[in-house]
Amino acid sequence: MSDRSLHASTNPMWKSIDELAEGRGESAEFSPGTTTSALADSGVSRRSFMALVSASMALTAAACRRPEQKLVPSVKSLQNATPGLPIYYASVYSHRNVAYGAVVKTREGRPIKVTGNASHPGLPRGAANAEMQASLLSLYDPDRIRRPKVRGQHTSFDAAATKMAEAFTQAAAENKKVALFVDEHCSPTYAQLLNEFVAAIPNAVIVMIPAIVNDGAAVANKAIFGRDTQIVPDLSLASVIVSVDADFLGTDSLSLYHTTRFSSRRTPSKANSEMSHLTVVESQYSATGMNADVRVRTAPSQVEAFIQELHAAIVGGASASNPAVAAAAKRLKGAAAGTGVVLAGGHLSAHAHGLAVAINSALGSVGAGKIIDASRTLPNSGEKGAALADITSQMEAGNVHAAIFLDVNPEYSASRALKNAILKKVAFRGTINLYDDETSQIADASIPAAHWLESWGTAVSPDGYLSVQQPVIAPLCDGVPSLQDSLMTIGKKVNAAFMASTATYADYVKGAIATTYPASNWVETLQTGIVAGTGRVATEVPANLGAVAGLAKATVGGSTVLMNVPSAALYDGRLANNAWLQELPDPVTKITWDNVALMSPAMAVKLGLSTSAEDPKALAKANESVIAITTRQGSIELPVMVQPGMADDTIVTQLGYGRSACGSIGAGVGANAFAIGGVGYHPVENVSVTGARHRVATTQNHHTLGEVPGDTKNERNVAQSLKLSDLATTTSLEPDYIKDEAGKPLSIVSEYQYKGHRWGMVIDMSACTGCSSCVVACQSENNIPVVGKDQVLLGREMHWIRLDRYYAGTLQDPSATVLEPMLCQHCENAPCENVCPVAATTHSPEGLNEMTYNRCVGTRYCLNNCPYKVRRFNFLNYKDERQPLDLVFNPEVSGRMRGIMEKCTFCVQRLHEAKWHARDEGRARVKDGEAITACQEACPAGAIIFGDANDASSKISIARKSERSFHVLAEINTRPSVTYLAKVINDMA
Amino acid sequence: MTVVQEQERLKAMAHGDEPVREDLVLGNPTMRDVTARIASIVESKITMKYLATLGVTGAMAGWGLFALYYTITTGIGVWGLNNPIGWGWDITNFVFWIGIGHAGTLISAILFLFRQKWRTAINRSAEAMTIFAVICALTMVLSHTGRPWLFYWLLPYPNQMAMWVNFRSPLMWDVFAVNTYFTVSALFWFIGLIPDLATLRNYVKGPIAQKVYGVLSLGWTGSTRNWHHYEIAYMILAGISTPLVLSVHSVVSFDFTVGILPGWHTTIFPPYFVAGAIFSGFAMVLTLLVITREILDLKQFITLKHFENMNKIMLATGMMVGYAYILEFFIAWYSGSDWERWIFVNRAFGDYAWAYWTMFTCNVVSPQVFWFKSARRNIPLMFVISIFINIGMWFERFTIIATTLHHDFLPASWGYYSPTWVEISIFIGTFGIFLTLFLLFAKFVPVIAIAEIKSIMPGAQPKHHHDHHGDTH
Repeated sequence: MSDRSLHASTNPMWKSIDELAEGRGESAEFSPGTTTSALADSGVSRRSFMALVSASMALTAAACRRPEQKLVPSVKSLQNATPGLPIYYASVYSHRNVAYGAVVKTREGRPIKVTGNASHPGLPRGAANAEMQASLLSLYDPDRIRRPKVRGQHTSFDAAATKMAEAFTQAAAENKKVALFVDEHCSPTYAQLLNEFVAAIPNAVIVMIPAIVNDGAAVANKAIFGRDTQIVPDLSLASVIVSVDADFLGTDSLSLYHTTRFSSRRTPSKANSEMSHLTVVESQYSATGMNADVRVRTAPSQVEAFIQELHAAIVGGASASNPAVAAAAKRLKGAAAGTGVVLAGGHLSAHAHGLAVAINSALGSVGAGKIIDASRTLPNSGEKGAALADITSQMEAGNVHAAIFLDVNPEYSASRALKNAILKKVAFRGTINLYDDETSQIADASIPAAHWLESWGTAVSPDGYLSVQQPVIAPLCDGVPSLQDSLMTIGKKVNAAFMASTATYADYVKGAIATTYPASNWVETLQTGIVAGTGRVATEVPANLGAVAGLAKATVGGSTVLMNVPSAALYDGRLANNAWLQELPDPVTKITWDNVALMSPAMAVKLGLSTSAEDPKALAKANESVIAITTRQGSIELPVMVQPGMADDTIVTQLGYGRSACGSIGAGVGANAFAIGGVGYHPVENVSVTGARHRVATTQNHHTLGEVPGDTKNERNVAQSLKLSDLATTTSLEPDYIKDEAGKPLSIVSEYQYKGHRWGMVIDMSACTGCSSCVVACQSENNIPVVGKDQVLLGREMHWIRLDRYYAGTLQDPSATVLEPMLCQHCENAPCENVCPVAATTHSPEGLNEMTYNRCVGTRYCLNNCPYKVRRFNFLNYKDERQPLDLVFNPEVSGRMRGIMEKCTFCVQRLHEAKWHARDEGRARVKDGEAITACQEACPAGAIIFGDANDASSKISIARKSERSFHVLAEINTRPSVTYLAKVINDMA
Repeated sequence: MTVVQEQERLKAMAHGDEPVREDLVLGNPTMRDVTARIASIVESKITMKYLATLGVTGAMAGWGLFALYYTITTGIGVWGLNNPIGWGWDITNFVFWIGIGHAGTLISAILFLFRQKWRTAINRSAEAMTIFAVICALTMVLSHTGRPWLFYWLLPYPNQMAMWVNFRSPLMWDVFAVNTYFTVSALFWFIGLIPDLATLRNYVKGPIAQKVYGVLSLGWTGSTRNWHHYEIAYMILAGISTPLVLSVHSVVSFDFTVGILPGWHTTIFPPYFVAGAIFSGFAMVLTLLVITREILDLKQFITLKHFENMNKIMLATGMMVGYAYILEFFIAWYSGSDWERWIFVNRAFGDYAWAYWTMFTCNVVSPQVFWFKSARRNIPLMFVISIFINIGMWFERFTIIATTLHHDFLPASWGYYSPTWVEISIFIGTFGIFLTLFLLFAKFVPVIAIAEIKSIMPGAQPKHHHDHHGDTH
């Protein structure tokens, strides 16, 4: 048997790295430079290669030696670690306070890919969101803070920790407090550590200060259920959903969780036409709005009124005057008991959340095991505002001596009052975080924190599953300890009794789990990623709906309303220095590298930026004009982008941009919208057109709707959609003239017979929500470079998969949006193949359209001739040469130099891996599901199916037979290997 | 008799009853006069004016070569190309220059075979122009790739990798077509030059010049045997060149027609491209000859008759391309393909409408003045029109490339393209190369085929009555 038998099996087992934590594996596991090939991607010409070779031979002759490098010595290697083969570790990613099970793939000791953990309940395959996957890049970020600082001067770790410890002692001497600001998190162990810290050091106060504060739900739930927390709905049970400004598929921190569950009910077939119905009431045009069956464009001031009227119609039995409310009420009442749900947007008032609970209760959807189950909650999601107001006033009163910020950045995101208090009323500021950020820059002492892939931790998911976050690499920045370890060190310096018997946070985590879950097995926990015996037990929580009436209402005033939303890619801006996220197009606007002021066409006319609300060309002129938006909090300048479907007199902008200090990638990108208010609605005091222009880099034309006279995009029918009521009568979505009587494609030559595998893909546009996880998954898997804003402006983004967005209907209020993931179609009659003069792109016997990078001379003819325009040319050398960014590369995928073409390969490296397994096991063929592409793996919606079309029983063969299937541009006879399933719009009355 | 008197006499004759052909050489010079006149250009001192002009064109060429150097060392990214638009000014210029070359081949080969005597005065410079234009085209096509240092991979040579080129690719056909074209044109030009080089060898006084012309004239003695071989060789090369007039630009058009894109995938391109190439080639020949004739005072050899003939050809080929432009719309409509229909509407009324209408006005409208004889013989007017045609034909190629690529099938992938200073510099540079080579040619090589022109002079041929009717065959 070959050495491939050592390969990780198809069902990878997670290896324990306990040894690593004890320090045994550190030097052996990570050996810098062992896999970076100087020649592979440095553009060395044949001539200089020869020069190098002769020079090295000359050196050998002179008996010189290259500098010694530590390779992985096999005698000391970790158990089962084989150079060249990946090891997978189970871990967990905490997206603020939402835990997503993760699997980290490492090669030669360095993490190269983060995916979801399929063993984690609720996440299919390796579903993961963009941030979680992109956080890998931040691990290798050269801009990470590397050394502790005291008053701007580099110092030792111990000196900085001592400085912070002194703050506590000093505060105690002055009888003042020290505020420890922490982010929303979902780690019970961290919470326990903080509690012990406060117990040992009584003048410490813990304040939770997330950048995105949404208190409405927690306040309402506290009143109704007696629980100060957010309840996580289970949308897999919902057949009728009414979302009132809740972007649960987009910017919500739970969107990965929701997408998985929502999409499971969005793919009807003729045989099973069951499909959920989604109504979205909103003033922005959100990712959720794109997926709506019915979208009700509503002014911000009317959003709460909608939910009130809906409440009156459903709970009170009144007849609604607003037809949209009446229709929504009818659908909700028509749904089977326990399957209808109303979701209120996080930023809405407590009263709106209370009304939503009341409506859901009336629909039978509240209770143990129901959609709204008060025992399915988000950790640490309680009310924050009161505590923040309290600490602000205490600081102002001079009761707080020092503030220490644990991986939070209030100088960037907090309210003006709090920022003032921190800057002026506190004697000492300390930070422990990843970057030299805004807050670090005003800190008296700062200590670098370790990345999540470098540190231990725990996280509990909304479903109650506890996972252990295990480090997969020794800290890259010279022995930087984790945040918790630093905190322990400081605590010990203040009070020697604190954690006297616990040396490291790793021990603490291990001990805490052993104590709390004595039945669990540590090795098994690390292998599966979940502590055995955890998991939520649904319990009935009595609801006091009488409390709803007493909840605070919100009125949205002002003639123009600003709505601040988290950014789709950056969320709160913490990973603003992550180039993968900066270049990830927004699912709706397709904007990269910027935040903008989105507004309706009518609003653009009102501001005098466009002469017409109907003419796309006039509206296009409004785009990129800079406006100054002033609210009570402050004023910022942003470029305008006209967004179809938005409510009039509303401006939407994204938080998370405008970082002034976060590293070389993110600093100065966009404007900081926190300066004019946190998440939610704010009355606008003044909007003025500055006359300046700011170029905005989008990956798709702004108006994909009637951009050119005589053509609207749906006339082309390249992205097909159909109504649910038409599904029963649909037989084929392709024109019949392209096939002969037998239903075979017309051809004048005999077809190539694919005897072995015949790889193909099916993409279900009905399942796809546009979350863009696939884009980052592909980028990470295939070493796709980031090109930067200037190059995106020129149209040179390199993503191998893009999500084409097509609106239907009017500019004012599009009736539907269809998303079409577009990647290399691996056409059987590939137009790119015959035009390449050097045969650099050819067809494989397994149906792949292969690209031979080494052979490509870069004529770009293939790019021109590709009807799908999925080929990507390296116009320049896009590789970021800074160390240690090259460690992020997947060694299975070769780098590409400038001047050559690249494109989706169907993750050919994964196909080869799967074939090796099959061969090792003596099988001739790869089993269905053994070979999965990176995009398919990451897709939370299950919209991508990949497999062998020659295997009649494979999922893809079955999916291809769907009556919803079609090929894009079937009529030009390229015969793509990617089949699309048309989007279905639920048109139930 | 002065040239002016001669022309007036001819004008009077043209209005007379007797159908008379104009003389192709005016002023009734002797054979010796002709040799002296043309060879004196070579022998005369290099003037400051000449050097200054050469300096300007050399600077243009140098600037273009710098832009090329910048492109090759930095990447194609310094151009304005992007993901839907993989070709822009690079291939536009390539097709433009290849097209320019066509007049030379047509004049030297086809008109030779058809015994069009009037070609004699202009064939030398037209052929030179062909070669220089193909050099510019080769510069564009070699530098447009992402990794130009691997250009030799486009040649089918045996190699240790056992890699072979893809003969299905039109770019491969281009490699053969353009290389053949360059080789045959260069040979044809050189063979034609041999007797004249020998004349210069005998005429010039400097020892170095004598040596150089002596080597280049390959031992020409002017014997009957020499002439016999020469004429056979010339005839054979004319025969080989003739199909190239049709094939080269047909093959170039295949770069587009073999593509699957609407606006490219069309069968009308080969004849339409050939007509366009001849059209643009004659325009360029005319532009250059008007200047050369003026500066080198060749009015007695390059006459209004030559210009008029060329203008007639431009009118004819201009009508052909005009017909093709209009027919394309009909075919797009008649095909029933929505893609085709849309792309043509977009070509005329979309983002690049300005380019389309520039092309249409220059190529179709402006040559219509040549219906009038007075216009055909009006030198300032024809000079302006020829420049319009040069511009229009450049825009034709640009329109075809840019309009099809910027908006093809999937609206989500659409884009827009405009060139950067680098591309513009390279284009200017190709003009610099072209003009520099032409200036060198005009100075060091007989711009008019001395030996040939003697054969069409009044008195060179057997004749029946008047001594000024050169050509009665």
